Amino acid sequence: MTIRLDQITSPELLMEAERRFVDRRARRDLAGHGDDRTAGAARLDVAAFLAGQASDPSGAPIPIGLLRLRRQYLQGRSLAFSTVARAASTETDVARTIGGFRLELVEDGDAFFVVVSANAAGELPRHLTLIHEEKRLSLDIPLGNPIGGVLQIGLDPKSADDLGTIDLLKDPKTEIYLS
Amino acid sequence: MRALETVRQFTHSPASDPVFDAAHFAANGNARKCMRVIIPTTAKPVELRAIKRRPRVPASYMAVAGDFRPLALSSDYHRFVNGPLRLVVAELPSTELSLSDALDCGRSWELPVLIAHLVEAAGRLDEGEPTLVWATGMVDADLNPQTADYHVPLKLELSRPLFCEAAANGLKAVMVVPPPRHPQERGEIEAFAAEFGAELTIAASLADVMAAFGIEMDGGEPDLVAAPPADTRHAPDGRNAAPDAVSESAWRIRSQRGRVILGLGGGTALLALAAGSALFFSEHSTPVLDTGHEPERAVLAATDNLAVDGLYAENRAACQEKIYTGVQLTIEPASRVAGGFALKAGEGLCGLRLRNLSDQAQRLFVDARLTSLAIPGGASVLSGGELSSGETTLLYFARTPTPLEADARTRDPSGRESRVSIAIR
Repeated sequence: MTIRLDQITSPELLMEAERRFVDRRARRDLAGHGDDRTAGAARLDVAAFLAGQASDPSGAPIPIGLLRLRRQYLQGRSLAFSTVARAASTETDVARTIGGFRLELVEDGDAFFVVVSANAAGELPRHLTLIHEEKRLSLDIPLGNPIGGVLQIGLDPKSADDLGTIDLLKDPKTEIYLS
Repeated sequence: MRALETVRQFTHSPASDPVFDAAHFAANGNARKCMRVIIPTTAKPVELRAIKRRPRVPASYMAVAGDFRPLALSSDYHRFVNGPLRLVVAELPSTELSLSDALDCGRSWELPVLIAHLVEAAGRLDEGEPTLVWATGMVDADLNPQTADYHVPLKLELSRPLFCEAAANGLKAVMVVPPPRHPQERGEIEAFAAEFGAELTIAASLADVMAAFGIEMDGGEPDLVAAPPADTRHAPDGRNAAPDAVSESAWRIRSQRGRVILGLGGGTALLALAAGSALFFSEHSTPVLDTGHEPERAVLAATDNLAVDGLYAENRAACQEKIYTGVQLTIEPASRVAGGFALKAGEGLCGLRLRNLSDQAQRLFVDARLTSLAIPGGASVLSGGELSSGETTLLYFARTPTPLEADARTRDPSGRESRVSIAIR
């Protein structure tokens, strides 16, 4: 469905129109990917991005179409996912239930820890993917090997990258995928 | 909310040493006035930078200083903290072990890490004279150092710059190693210690390790004793006491611990007999008097949840006497066979010791073919007694066991079960 300019009568419709515009542009970009070798060299490797093996080298916001494609890809392959936070969180600690898994962000002085507990079947994921559509961000974090039956990784708030991850985990709008 | 935490800094040095740098160590040595614990490897010495208590996270882990990503050995370290270490350092929460460099494999980190934890728990890190602690070796489930080939001469040579700098900076040097395998290796270690005036302790037991640092048990927490013993220490000039000599203090610690555990075992046995019900002892550790006969955990596959040992005496009469007087029985690991364990039937087989090797609590069920042999007691093994991680339980036989095939099942908190066979042949 197309939204015409004269039909935009509310902020919600304006937001939806913006989203569709970006989405359409992203689809065009995706469709044209690889046609121009020079331009293509700077572009994101879509296949690698979808598989979580590459991020946008420019650090620019990821096209929303690509994000949504990634979401579809992940939803088909993840052990569990959560598109919005439902569990309560304190000022600093975050706890989210993702399928049968529980993901916690625990502040402990100079570090934050991401702790993922096993589901009832004793399974544990290997990767954590965070997607934030509004911020056009997608982040892949290897969870490493289990320690004592849980996955636990530390994040340093003094590191810009880790701080970005912490902020994303605190944001209830961040989608979380465990695969 | 900020967590309550205790940070025991071993050093105040920068984040990491990508490559061992004697000058860097020297600079740190000058800047610091506290204990430095070295974990020698066959590649280079690694310095233990800090033990940080992290009560808010579930898992203990090792990481390179300045990084929070767990190293590959974290799972082993977590098991070490959760199991044997908590037996001597009560109320120990999850901890972060901060290292100058990564440890990739092996178990020789256990002894230096044990020393660091004991000293940290005793509140000794910031006190006393500046000391360089050099130790290598693995420990068994009762924290007794184990003899093995640790390539000690190579590790010592790689650590030579450290000792030189420590000497130059006036640091006292202490070396702790398990009993060497060969006299030649022992001679090389003693010569090295003499060269640098280092206090050398050949430690065969936890008590020896604690005695080397003047620490003794006090209500489950390591505590400082006034006069460190000297028997197991080797004088800097190379003259040393008998190889297996144990200091008076070490014996005192061992004996006290042994008495507590064995006394409880014997008393409980008599009580249970009086009540006429199944005796199923639970203990947190083998009495320390028993040394050098423990199965090394490394022998068992990582997937194993249970270790089975036989308890032996000379004959049935000796079994009975030792069980009821609380005297230590000889412990020998059961042979590993496909799907479980096997023990040799005989009148000297007094019972079994089962240890939870998992890093979580497990319920233990032993089938009736085995429990019917047990001295009657109040706790039923059939209904599943819970064993915490590393905990041991004893099953004493009321009569000489005849050949049998039995099963033991463990069930973890998630309900997953594993089964092993226990055969007496």
